Amino acid sequence: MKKCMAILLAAAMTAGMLLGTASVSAAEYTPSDETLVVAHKGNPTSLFHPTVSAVSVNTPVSETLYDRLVSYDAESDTVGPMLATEWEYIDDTHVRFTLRDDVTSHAGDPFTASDVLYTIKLAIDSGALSNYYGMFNYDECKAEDDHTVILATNTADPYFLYTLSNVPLGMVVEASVEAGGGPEAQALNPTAGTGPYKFVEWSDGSYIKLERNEDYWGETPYYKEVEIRIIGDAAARIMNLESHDVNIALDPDNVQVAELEGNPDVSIINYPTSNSTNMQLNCSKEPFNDEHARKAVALALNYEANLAIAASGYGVLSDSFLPPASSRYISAEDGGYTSYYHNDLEAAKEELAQSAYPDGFSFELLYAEAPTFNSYSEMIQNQLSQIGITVTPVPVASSEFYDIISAGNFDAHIVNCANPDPAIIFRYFDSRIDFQTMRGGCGWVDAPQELLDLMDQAKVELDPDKSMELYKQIQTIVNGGVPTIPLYSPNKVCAADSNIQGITLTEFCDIDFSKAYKAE
Amino acid sequence: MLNYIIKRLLWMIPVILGVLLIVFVLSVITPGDPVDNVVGPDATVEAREAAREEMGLNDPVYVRFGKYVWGVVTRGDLGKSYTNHQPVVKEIMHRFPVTLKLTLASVTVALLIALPLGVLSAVYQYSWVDNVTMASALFFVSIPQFWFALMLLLIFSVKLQLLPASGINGIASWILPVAMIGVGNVGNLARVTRSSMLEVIRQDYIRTARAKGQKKSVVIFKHGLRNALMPVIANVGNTIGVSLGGAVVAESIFSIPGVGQFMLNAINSRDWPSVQGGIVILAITFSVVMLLVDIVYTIVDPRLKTEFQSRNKIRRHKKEGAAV
Repeated sequence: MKKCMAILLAAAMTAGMLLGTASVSAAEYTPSDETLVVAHKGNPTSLFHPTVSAVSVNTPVSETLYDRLVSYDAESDTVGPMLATEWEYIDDTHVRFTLRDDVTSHAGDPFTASDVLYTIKLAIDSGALSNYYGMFNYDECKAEDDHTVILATNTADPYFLYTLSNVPLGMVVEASVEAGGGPEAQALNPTAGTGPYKFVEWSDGSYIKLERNEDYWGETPYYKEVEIRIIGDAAARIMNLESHDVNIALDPDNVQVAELEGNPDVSIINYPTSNSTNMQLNCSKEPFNDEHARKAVALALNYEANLAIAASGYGVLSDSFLPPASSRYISAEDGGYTSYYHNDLEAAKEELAQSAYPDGFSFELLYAEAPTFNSYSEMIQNQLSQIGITVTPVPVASSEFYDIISAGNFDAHIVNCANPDPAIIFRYFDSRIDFQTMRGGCGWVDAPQELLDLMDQAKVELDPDKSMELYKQIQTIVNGGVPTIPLYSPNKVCAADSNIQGITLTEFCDIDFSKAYKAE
Repeated sequence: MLNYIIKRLLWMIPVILGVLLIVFVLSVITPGDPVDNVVGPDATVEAREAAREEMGLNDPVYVRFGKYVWGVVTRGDLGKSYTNHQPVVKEIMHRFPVTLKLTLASVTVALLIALPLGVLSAVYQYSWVDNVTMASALFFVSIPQFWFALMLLLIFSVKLQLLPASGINGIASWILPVAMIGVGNVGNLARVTRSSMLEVIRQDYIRTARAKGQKKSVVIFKHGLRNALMPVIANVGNTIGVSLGGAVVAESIFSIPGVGQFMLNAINSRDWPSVQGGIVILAITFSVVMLLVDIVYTIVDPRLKTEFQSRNKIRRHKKEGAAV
């Protein structure tokens, strides 16, 4: 039965994606000789992605150089074909993929099933992306023939296909890697990808130049060349767009983007995402080991105002611990988060009166320095002061942030969770995982056993309906204990010349400009 | 003179070692784990530990420092970048000319503007020329470089669309970054030039020159400015140092592939070998610049050369006397 459901799920995803891609693939353009200039915030750490960490400075380059086995459409939340044309679940932990037979690397070597295994092995051995590659049971992965490969996982994984669509799981061709001097040489001069653009030149810290892959198996990209210009400052990126020095400005500051509204030369790309921004409360120590104190905070916040001001409205309120774009999202009507908690100062004061701190308490709110979080934390400070809770915002550098939360040295922190897999998001509530292993979390040591059992079931449940039911129960329990406060789901925003179309999102909600074209 | 130069070069060794020690200690006590940027924040504990071992971070601090200094001294090896595993020396050396060009261009432009302005201010002291010049100088010295860079971008790239906002393609693209670093320096150098000129033009020999009927321009530029240049030259050395720092901001905003942006990226990713390498190279550059400034002193003021020579003579005499 499970197998049938899995096949149906795969078929549904395939059909969904085919429909999804149909609208994109019918792009109304003929390839041009123009150059697309993209302003990007940072220098990549490497151009050979399987052996480096999946940091956001790498993604805009990696997504154009490397194709994945499957693609993900963030808008419809569906997985579709890419290098694999179809797939079937053999059992809960084995999936057979049929690969395209017309794919070559940028160096001209054919892409085959053995390259899939090579990519996975290379990445597992590098240790850099253990969160992506840890689920593979590599010993049972095998190439049946040149264009058929079986991938095996350690346990049933309902989001396995989503994970395969991640940019860090982009495929490389072994022959090209070896001919190109191995992974270290490929980090600077990549030739082993099969993506729509080929690498040309990297002036470290200044720009990366790419050119159209004329032998690309998919739709020929519109732009002949792409120049990714590294401009560290967000304001400078926007000014480069306004001065027409660049065509797309990635990762702008929301306030600056809001100021561009109404500028006829600029279009603002504003997509809902599967990201969610949460305030994690440290339930393992005072004051948030007190459930009433947690509820008081959740009831005192004005979520609508905070989103409108701190994020300039570029986001959506989340009724659930999952963002609205998640397939397991539960709306307020179905018992989502906001049916429990919304701005209600009287109710907040009542909860506080029942807590161990009837006269209020103080706590530090930690976050990685960012304009939106600065603003959001100040608003939390103001709103909680109305019920006698004193908040001290503590901005730190992002590298320092993860050290602190991994050690559990915080009262509360704001963090952005980016994963379409709800099992990853709900790991934050799993009391069996410590701060160090989780690299954060809420230390909910009092989490009921029932919750843990449900999470274990949901993690491996392939049937979408059953999975949905399990996540409903999970969210009801979490709502009752409120170890974490979902603040909002941020949109992915970028600004571009108004005549540029076809900008989409990758599976982790990064801007994908590889299908961009200029509208006539 | 040669002895002096050799001595100064030798003095650079403890200076560089001191810089190395300070930067190394800072890298140890600064929060943030460099392993995060190598294996990613979500890597398993085992993967992190393997990376830590490979990066040599499990060695005691003094062992790491010793190995690093030994590599620098014996092989000129500044280590390998944690992020892209390339030798830091190679990474810095192909960026260094860009930073040096940017720095020297901005200081040259600053000097070309500051010297005439400083002289004019001094000659027409308390006139509107003096007041406007000094008020502008104070303004440009006071404004934050970062803000000034954005204003330049806003005016010349966004509004007027006269100059490119990023990159280094052609002379036009150098104008804004050079202006950004240079304008602050203009203010500083003009103020030093003015005060130095004011001191000089009140000297008796200037009054004598005027009384003898020398042309005003000759009095000011030949007799006045030449003697007023000493403090300006001393200031140019410091200005180059400050400009090297300013290049970090300019390179970041205008997308220029120099040492400053390299170091900024390295700091953000806790790539300590790259940070240390960058600082060492900048420290060496600054030391060399200060040495060159001292040499220029002797060219501008021959009395200093005579001083060096007479000091050496006295020492030689003392030695001979002691031997007798």
